[in-house]
Amino acid sequence: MSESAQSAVAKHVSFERERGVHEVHLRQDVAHIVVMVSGSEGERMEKILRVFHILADNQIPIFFIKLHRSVVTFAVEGEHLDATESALRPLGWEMVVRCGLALVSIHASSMRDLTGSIVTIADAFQEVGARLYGVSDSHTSIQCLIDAEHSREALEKLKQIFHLEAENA
Amino acid sequence: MPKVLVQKFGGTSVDTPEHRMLSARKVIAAKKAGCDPVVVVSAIGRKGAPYATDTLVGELKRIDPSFSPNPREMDMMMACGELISTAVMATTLQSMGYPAIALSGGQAGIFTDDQYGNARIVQISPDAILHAIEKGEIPVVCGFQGVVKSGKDGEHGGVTTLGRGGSDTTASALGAALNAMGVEIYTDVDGVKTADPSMVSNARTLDICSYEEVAEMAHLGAKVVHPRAAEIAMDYNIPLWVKSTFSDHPGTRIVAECEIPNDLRKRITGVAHTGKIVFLRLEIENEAHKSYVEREVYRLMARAGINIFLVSFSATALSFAVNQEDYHCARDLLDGMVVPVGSEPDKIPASFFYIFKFSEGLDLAYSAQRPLLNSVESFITVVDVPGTVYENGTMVSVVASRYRQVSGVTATIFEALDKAGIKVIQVADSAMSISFLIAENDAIKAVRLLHDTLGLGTGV
Repeated sequence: MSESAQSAVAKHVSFERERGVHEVHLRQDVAHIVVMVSGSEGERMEKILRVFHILADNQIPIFFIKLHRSVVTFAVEGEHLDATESALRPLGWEMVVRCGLALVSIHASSMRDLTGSIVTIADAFQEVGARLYGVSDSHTSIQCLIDAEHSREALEKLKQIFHLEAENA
Repeated sequence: MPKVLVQKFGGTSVDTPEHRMLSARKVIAAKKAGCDPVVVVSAIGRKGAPYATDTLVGELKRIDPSFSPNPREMDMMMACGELISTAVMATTLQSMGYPAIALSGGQAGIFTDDQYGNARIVQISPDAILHAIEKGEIPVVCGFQGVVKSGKDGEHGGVTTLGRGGSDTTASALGAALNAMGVEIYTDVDGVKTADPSMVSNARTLDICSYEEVAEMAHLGAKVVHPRAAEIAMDYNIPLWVKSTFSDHPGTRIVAECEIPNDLRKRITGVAHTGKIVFLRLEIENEAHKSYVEREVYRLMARAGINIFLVSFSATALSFAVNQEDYHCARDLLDGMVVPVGSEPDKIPASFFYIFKFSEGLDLAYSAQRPLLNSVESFITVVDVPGTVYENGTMVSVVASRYRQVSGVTATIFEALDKAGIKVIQVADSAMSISFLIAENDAIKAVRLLHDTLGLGTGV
């Protein structure tokens, strides 16, 4: 066997990630912000843009953005919560802040091919009494904002349901 | 130091003698540079070509259009495309004076589970490949296929196919199994682009990008490297390259994020768009029952095998998207559906009946069902759940590495779309991307606009 071929030693491993959920993560100290942006369609979008610009001008990164008929919602890291309130409230924006939430991320190789993952996750949260404040999904993850109070139990429940107990800390 | 270099050639790189010659020259160049190339090939040509996968599948389906071919036989048929391609490519190399050997997936030691049509690689025993290298031959391996290692019915050796992106997956997995110095994916573009070049003329080829970025781009519609291949390369830290068969452009190097220069770690990587999407909104006004009713909706969709995404809920509404092909089924299931809810959710007897209703013309089941509930209204509260439908949507996505650490991205995107009169219906974001649901006929305009607004055509 040539030197190069010898060095290319075969590894007998399981090459591909398992189908289904392979990882769950928990991030604490996330705040969910609800800002009122009622009005006509044009006024609503103008207000949403103003909110986003104010936050950008104050160097506040936002995520978990959702558009609703009369509110826009988003999340910020706990460290940015004071800055968010200071930036918006003095300008008269009516807002509701839910702080002390946890962001639970559930990862799969092709999440959108996994039928029923949302109901499985929602049932798990229901079972441990964790209220779900928001969901955001992508091809590789579903992220959920829940009460921090129940987040550890929720994480354990998800690990149990997705058979990840021994794999993720 | 390992010197194995896996080189994968897609359908358009092996579809004509001229293209096969160009591909063979890439292999020979690697050999001359002191590497041990291991070649992986896809079926010859794309849809419509005589040996393309779709053409072969069509042969089985034509036998009796009312009969669905067995997945096992479908896989055996589909695998023929790569067998032909492999034999042709190996012979091309031989004719150019380079010893080569064609290997099927099974001969190359690629073992999979028994999920025909979408098998996963579970083991690679590359003895035959190593033996060929030892003899100075170039192994030319069929992409997209393997054989069952241990099936449910005790079957061993059944030919399987790997599903979408299968040849990329084969290349990446062989790279991992052989401790390859790299895996080169040859295609008809110069590398990973900042947008689809057929849509955006000044789309730029990225010099370097992370496994995560390329997987996200691929998931969101960019036809580059299949996410499964990127995942394997990521898990085994195998350098991946996307290059053109038809140019000498150095291509895009895909590496672990820690190898990306610091100044590129927080950046906008590209814009992509994908999917024909229908967005549904359901008004559930009773906050006490809302989460229960929502879960029943999720459950119904799951039972019907319908994937839902872009999920969002406010105090009074639940919204989600389904793929256009699932829309009619989803709507028919929801129209007239009754969710009984106790005075407390999950408790019986029911005190409330929530009944789903779409707008006039889309509410046939509701119209039939609702009068039947009149008789129970003296002791059960019947609540209509009005549903609205937004058809003809699509998703435009901006892939942005570490987007959540960057302020102002959302404002920039929203402002650009708003100024161009493109209405954003909903947003979904992850750690790597932010996606916007917009009207399908605005998709090209939005991709071009965001590509320009975010400076992707002129960046480093």
